[in-house]
Amino acid sequence: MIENIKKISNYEWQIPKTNDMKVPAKIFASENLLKLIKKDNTLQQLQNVAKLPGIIKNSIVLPDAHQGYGAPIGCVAAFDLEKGVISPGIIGFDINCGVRLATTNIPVKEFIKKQEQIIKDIFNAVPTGVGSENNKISKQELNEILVSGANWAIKNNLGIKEDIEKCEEKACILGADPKFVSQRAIARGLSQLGTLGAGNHFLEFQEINKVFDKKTAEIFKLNKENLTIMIHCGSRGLGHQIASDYTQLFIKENLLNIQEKELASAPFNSDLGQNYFKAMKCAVNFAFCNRQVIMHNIRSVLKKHFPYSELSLVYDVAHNIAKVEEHQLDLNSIKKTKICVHRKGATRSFGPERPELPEVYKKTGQPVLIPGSMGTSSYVLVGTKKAEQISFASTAHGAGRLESRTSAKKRLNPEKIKQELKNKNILLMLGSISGIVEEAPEVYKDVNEVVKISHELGIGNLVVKTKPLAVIKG
Amino acid sequence: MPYEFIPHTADIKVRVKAKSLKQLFLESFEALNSIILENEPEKIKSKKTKTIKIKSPDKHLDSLFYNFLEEFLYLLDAKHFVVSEIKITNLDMHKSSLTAVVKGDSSSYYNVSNKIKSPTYNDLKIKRDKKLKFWQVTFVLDV
Repeated sequence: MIENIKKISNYEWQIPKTNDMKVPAKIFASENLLKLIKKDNTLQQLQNVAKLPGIIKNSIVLPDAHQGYGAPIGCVAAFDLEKGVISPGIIGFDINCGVRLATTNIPVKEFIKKQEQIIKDIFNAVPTGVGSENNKISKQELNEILVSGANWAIKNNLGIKEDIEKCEEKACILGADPKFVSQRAIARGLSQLGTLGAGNHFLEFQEINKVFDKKTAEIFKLNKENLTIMIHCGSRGLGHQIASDYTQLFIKENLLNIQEKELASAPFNSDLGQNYFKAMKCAVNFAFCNRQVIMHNIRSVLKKHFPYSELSLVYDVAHNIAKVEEHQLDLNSIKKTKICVHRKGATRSFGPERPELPEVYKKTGQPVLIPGSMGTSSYVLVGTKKAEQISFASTAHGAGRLESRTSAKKRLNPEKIKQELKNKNILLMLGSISGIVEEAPEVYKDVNEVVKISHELGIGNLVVKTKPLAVIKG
Repeated sequence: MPYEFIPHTADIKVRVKAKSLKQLFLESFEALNSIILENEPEKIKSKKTKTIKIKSPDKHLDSLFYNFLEEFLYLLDAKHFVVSEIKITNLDMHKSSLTAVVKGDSSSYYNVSNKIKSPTYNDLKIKRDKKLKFWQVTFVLDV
């Protein structure tokens, strides 16, 4: 139990530096969410992150944080490039698990009329399962994807050029090198391109039901009349294997004498650290391409039902990633320093004028996509300068889990949840039966409260709220 | 039941007790396989046989255990293979190596779940109760 939590403001708390912590730990949460966060091991894990060499300013958890593996989920930690580390435990197994949001010109009313058939067709076009031999790409194709991300998809007519523009890193992070990816990871990726996977991954068809910031919503091309589509998935078995391979390598070499195996790290500028960084980037690119292929397959199905339909990307964001970014570390100086920002279950939240953003978002800041739990609202926020100042340009990534799968299974009745969703007019298609209770809204924190805190803190400001019409889960 | 699922906020936590180390590995496999096969009422057929060899990179028992569990996720993703039976033919604690013969079938014939992303080192503890003479492990699977 951690006793010494200092209140800084209504939504900001600090665990002062003690013993072997290199920096304090910071918690962005309301009093209510802090109570929930305290219930599991989140804050202990956050303190462990603060002990790593070269960590800058503080280790951070966001309002949706919960216990994870190594670092908590909902964690941000930035490291000095010379003295700092890179750690798979603060990125996650599902490297570049992320979200993309697309808008369409299909009126919501028209979609609802045909949605049962459309969802069935999309369920068939986007596999949720293990993948099969029929779905296999060649090793050469996979290599190309690992280096070029979603560009490979565009080259192979699985998308249009505009899709690339509105992605974090333009859907291709530079510096990926497949030489550092194991054959096991390659083998796990060969049949998984364009697959959703299970667990918390989903496709959601949504309607915008509330606009908070009309001007920004217009620039993001979000309007209440038309259908929007959210895709949530990651780098599949390929990314999991890369994270696992390097965790094991880091444990074996143990260059930093770290006792906690789950926080195994390597110096960022060591060969080992750089090899992982290059391999991690391969998984990042695979995930970008995966979401692109899924979006393309959805686009094709919609075209059959609505020949006039057009689908355009709002943005694609990564939730599990480490990146070298420039940040102003001393707010009294204009000097910017390159650091390695780890985000694990956190969304980048760049404000206006960042050179990394597409031209169209340079005036507003980037779209921040925050999915809710199954059958609840999701949100689009906009990135801010304030986030750059206090949270290494990061905000929450979702509702955040609250209850274990084991107890959800014991407590919740799948038929009842199905009925409740039906009563709310939400159509559901599931790859697995267990998913319905394990991912039920009751086992997550309230996404409304999470985004409210982000907005009040000013680390990601509300733009629109969406409600689900139909959900496909793996 | 020799294995039990215990509450964990986000992932799946398992506790296994067994009379021998070999049995501990086997029961842990059963726990993992029950998650892979949860959507599958049909019994998996024993059509193909494979030999798997596991080593631990740092010669520690927990790494051997981790790699043992990971092998089944690899077989599923890369070989589309689901396991019906397993026999551990060699388990050497000192050399940190394990050999097993597994039987099973192509996953494409079954409705299996790929929700487990990876085993983890989170709370991974393998110990032997010398007095009561049994082995125990707790482990967390990332889902």
